[in-house]
Amino acid sequence: MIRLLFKRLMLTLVVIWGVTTVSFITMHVLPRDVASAMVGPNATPEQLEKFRHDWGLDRPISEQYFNFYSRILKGDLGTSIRTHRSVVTELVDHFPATFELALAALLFGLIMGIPLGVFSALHRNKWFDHFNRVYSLLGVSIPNFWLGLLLLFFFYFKLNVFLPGHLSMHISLKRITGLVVLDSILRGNFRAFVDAVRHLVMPSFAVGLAVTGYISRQIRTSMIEILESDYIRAAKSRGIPFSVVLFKHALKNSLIPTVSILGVLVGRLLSGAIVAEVIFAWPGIGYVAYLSILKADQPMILGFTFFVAIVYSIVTFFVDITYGLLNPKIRHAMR
Amino acid sequence: MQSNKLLEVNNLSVHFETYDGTAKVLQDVTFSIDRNRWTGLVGETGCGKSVTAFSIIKLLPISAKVVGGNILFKGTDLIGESEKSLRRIRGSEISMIFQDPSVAINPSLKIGNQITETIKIHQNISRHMAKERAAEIMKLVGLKSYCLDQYAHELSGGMAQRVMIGLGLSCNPDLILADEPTSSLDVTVQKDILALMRRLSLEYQTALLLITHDLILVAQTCQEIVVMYAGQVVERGPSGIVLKKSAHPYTRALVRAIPMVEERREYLEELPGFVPNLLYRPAGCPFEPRCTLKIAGVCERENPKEKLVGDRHYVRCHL
Amino acid sequence: MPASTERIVGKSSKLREFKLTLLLLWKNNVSKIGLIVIAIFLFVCILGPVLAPRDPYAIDVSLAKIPPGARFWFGTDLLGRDIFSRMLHGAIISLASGLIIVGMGVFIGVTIGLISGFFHRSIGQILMRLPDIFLAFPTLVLAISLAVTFGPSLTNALIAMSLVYWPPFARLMYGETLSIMESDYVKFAKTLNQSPTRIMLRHVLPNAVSPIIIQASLDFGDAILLAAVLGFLGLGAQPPSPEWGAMVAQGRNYLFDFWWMSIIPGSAIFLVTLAFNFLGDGIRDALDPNIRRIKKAD
Repeated sequence: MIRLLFKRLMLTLVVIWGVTTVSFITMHVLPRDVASAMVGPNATPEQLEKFRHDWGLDRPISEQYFNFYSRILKGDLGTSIRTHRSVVTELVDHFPATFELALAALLFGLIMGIPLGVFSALHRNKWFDHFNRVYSLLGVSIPNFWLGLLLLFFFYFKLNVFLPGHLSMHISLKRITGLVVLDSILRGNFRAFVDAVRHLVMPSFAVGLAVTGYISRQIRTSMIEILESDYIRAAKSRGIPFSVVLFKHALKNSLIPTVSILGVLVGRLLSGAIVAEVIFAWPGIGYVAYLSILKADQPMILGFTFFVAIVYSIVTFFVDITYGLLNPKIRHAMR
Repeated sequence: MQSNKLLEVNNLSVHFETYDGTAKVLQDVTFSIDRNRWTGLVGETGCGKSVTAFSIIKLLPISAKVVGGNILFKGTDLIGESEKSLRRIRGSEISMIFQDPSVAINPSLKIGNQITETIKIHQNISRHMAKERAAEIMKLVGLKSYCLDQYAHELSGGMAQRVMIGLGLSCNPDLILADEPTSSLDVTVQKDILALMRRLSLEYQTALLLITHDLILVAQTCQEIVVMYAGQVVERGPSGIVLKKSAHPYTRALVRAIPMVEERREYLEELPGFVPNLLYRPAGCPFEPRCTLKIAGVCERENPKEKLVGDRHYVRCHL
Repeated sequence: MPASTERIVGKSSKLREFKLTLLLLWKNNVSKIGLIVIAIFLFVCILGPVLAPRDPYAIDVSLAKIPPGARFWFGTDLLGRDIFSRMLHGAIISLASGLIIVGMGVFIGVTIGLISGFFHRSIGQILMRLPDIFLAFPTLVLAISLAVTFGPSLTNALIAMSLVYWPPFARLMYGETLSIMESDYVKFAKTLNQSPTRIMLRHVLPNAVSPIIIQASLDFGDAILLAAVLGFLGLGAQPPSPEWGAMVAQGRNYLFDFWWMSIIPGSAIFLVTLAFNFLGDGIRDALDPNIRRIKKAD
């Protein structure tokens, strides 16, 4: 068990090293003029000079690399051109909102996707299965941004039921975790809670739809395979009622391979969240990234990419560990 | 008077729907199983032995369809029975032991959990009592009680098969269907498992249908034999008679192919030819292409009907 | 069996398998719809620019913001350009993007995977860390980052997206190469002292090709969608290019009043992606061994 952990950890660290190197290359090697990319088009010559000096741009590449690395380890990712705040501060400030959105979308995907997958597996090739298949394909094919616009059009412009953004202007809520729904519960503020939910529904649906598709397809596939396996037949041969066979025996075993795709799902969730944040003006890191694209805020973009990659690597690492723990065979082989 | 026949299969025919057409997997299968006896169901791979067993407890795959015949268990036709009553019968009156125990036990549940689950489904006793019963069963099959807390992959092949036997016996069924119970085990373990099964079936007065391709095994343990070929029963009767005075060419060939320790042989006898494709059944006897004693003109045109040739000894042949 | 005979026998059964696949695709309603829509799409891509009623770049502010109607089927945008004509011209950008992204991705991925698999004891180990690193970034995030660094233009966006697409193909090819290397005919070729390049190209590559093609066809829909997303974010084709994603972005702020500017190009992206995904799903099903052999009894 420890050996497995160690191997995965090493791999993750190598990957993170790779990520930083790729970031370094994109920041310092590729742009034609690093200084003006990092400081901005409106920089004065003095500012550019100062930057070049601070970051040692006239020094050899190896020294630059070393400097870059030590900055990263100190937690300095540069300063945003747009807001003049530290990149790290911006990211940490805005990440909880993205986390909230991703989490809501994931929950939506699980709550919708698992029952859909189970039903489809049970009623293979009947109308429900076909419907679910088309629905999943739809969820995966639909452009996030277009769906978001549609949702905005109907539910906001026409019906005014759900709202874009994070929280209405007139609601005051002191921040604890940064997750608005959670904070409103923690503060016991019912009006804020309702308001927060009204804002969260559209973006999480927009992102969650695709996730539902992936999850339900995965559950369906593993359920079908498991339902035809010998031990299910053996259980049936002992007279165990089908509902018990389904939930106790089959579902439990089919959830395990689903965990393994969780890593990929998180990647999709993050990607989807970025687009959703742009459409719904949800103040997460994706929204910040978009503003940075518009203003050519190079340090912010790269800091953002780096940050997301690190988070993603850590999540994947934990997902793999969890999968290893859940799968009894792996768990046993580790003893 | 209580009939001695526990299970009667009469003229059972089963078809499988495949992409390339309908496979007539079982054709007119008839045999019976007596109480407290071991009946052996032999034949080569693909002859329909397992399908017969699955038909008895109605666990056929979706693509299968019973097209004729009936299965009388203690007088009731299982074919017409509702799923609900079948569920009651499965496990408590008829249970099944599978070939490969490592895949026939749920890998993510503890063994004890699965045993108590079966017990509680069929008997209305408390969880505590069910656990005690499970521990008893472990002892019965020769395993230590700590096995109850283990998972399937932690057990060796022999141990896992003992668990399967335990699961099968847990509710004291009248009939056990054993589908190649020892095929996946080492030879040394096989002996132990079979001895265990014999002891238990005697003690609990359980009838057993032993499905296997191993004729020697059947010869050593079963009182009755049913020989199948290409989905049909070609010969059946008391095992002594069927083996010594085989009436069907196929049975004779099988018996001849058994290497005897006493005889010195230069080579192992083989049966030439292949099993017919079940999609395109010939009109005549299915064994005809490989038969050395066939009657020209008759055997290839007409599928023989079953006839009585001795004391409870039936054969399906033109000879 | 000598290698030449093996290949002949392989070919005839492969042809039968291929025909069976096509038949299953056509019988499947879902993939049939996909095929039809794709056919329409291809038609629009090739003949669209010719059939477009108006100049997609012609600016005429007096004709701006007209809703869809008899005169302008899809309405006009902010600068008075006919959206219908713009979309007809823009179709091929999406198709070409998909082809280039998947094509380049396959090319790079297969090359790296093949070399890594072949020399899997030496440089292969190092080389295969590369896909791991690239895959540490979520797809869109990496694409955005690279596109921004290279500068917003269609070419740069395509390069960025190809760099995002190659890692899964590299991994797939690596696995295939490893298993093919174990086969007899490769070992035989090695004993004949054939050069590595020759072995790789003549023996390994042709046999590894089919899962790669399948995977590429499954990913095609996603590639088109990705290109559209980058276009939406302003990183792909630049104005005044009539790329569909960019068109959606242009109409974004006027959703309430002039919904057709965003919704209609977005619907087109959706339909095309959906069609390719339908087809991909149909392909996946058609190749499923269970479906090829078993049918349900009624």
